[in-house]
Amino acid sequence: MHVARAVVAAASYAYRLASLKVEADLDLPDLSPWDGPSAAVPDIVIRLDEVPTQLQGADCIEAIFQTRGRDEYLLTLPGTGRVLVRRGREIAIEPERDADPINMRALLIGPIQAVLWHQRGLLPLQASTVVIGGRAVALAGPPAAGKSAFAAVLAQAGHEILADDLCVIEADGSSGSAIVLPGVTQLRLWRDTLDQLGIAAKGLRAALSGKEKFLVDCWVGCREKRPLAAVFALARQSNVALTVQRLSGMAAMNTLREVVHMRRAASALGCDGDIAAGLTRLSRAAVPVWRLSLPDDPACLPEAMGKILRAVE
Amino acid sequence: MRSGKIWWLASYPKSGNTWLRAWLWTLVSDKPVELEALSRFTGNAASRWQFDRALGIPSAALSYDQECNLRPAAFEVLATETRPPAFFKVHDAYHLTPEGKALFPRAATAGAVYVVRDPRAVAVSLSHHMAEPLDQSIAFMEDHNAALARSTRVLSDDLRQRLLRWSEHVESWLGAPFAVHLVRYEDMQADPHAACAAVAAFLGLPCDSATIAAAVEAASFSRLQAQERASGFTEKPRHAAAFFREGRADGWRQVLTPKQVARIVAAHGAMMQRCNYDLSLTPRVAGRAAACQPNAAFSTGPRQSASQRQAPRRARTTPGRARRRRPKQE
Repeated sequence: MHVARAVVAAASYAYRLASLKVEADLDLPDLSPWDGPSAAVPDIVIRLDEVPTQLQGADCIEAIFQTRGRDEYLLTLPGTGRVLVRRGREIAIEPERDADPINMRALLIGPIQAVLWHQRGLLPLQASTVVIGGRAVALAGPPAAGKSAFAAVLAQAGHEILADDLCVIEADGSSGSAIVLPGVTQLRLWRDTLDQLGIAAKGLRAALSGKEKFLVDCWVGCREKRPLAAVFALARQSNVALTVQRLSGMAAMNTLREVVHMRRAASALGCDGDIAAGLTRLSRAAVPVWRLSLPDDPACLPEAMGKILRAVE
Repeated sequence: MRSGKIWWLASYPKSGNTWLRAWLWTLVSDKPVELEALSRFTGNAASRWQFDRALGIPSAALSYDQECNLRPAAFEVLATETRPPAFFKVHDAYHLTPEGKALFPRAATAGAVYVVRDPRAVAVSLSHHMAEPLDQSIAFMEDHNAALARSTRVLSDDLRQRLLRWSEHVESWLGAPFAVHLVRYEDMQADPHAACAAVAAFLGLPCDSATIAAAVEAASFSRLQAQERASGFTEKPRHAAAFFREGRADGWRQVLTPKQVARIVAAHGAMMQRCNYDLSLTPRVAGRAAACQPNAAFSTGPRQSASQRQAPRRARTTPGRARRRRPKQE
């Protein structure tokens, strides 16, 4: 086994993810350093360790992942390595020998983090979230919808970033309202977006190998939970007009279901009931869901921002 | 029709793939073609959304090599989860992934229909589609590293698709280790009934004369073009004037210069001969210089008058004399 034992012994990092303490064997510069009591027991532990090729007693075996009950999720990516997530609090990583650590970090910060939240019973959406008027506004959509780019435009206009690409929602026990946890506040932006925003790529850290995607940390991030004011589902398409349309009933519910992060994995983990309950809570909390149709033209984003600001006023 | 397997509808870009899919729409549904729904009627082998859904992981978090290595696994999932008939449009060449697996695994495959088109016509159509000079399209077709969705600067809706050179693309599919039905675009035009019937028979679809006639009529080029004019087509690039532009087999003879034709034949002549394309055909009218302009959006320029068409052939290759018209922006 070629796991970097020396690294395990030599390095240990502590980070904050929402209110949780993360202890890791590897550097995760996407996360904020831990600023709580140094003696605090970690809530999440990320270890470089041996990871089995199969889950013993797996009850779901898919093309690249396996699950056992709700507690174990094993991801195998040829050329990258294996990751085992347990009980929403332990992540074991066994990278392949020549794997680029950047790609493993991207997996941890995106898909693996989403699995972790599912195991913890919260609702993660594919959405970048900004703070408008003290409340969270989620910009949701599939990859390539332009979530982070739109968040950057709002950040440039002075709105704090609450989380990029992953919007984790919990229910407020007393009021039943939907609360968004603070997440990774660095935006992952493509080179074209940087050029459009007038940001130089030089000196920025790469977010993936072989792709001109960078981590950008030049705006103000919010470290506090915020009540969810609205979800805008971005629908980018060529030859459409810029429109914003309020959805209701099943249309709203189905739109939200489409943007649940790592839904296939969550389903295999038996989280469908939690997801349905989470979506129902959003509906009961009367969180407005809007469909924002965007033409495939970045020049429309300032006008789209105006529509969002008017909608959440 | 075998269930649980995919029929690949493969072609180099701008070679008649959409036309083929329109035929199949009518053959399967017995309804008139709805252009807007056509993109959903067949799967798209390069769809990022489909890949993410099949594997349960967002490809946006993966490198290109990771994406490519995982595509065969995604196809195996799609083969079992797509309701028959599982037709998937493909522009990739049939090639191996970085880790050496076949991109289109046999286990997921029922067979393939491969549409080939005269590369001289492909070059013209491609330059309109990409709104780029003809010479650039011709060079693209000669590039072993050519790919669609190849930008590293932005996340596109489609995954990167390796095309290889035009002739390598054709060869790759004709050598694929499963049943491949070859159909020539030119035969689809010259005798659509026969071409459509042969495709239908290969795929195990109804191929009686009345059904084939209805499919050919419903998916005629003029009908598709009219639908696009009336309500648009999502597969048209933003910078292209139209997806269904001319639909002629030999339109290239009015557009390409002798030099451009010679270059295409030199690069792809062997495969052209194998596909029964007449290498001796020459341009009818001397080439339009606009096509040679570097960095110019492609245009064929205004239509030639009868007197111009009858004028002695003389290549106009001086860029400064070119008459250019930018593609219509929508």
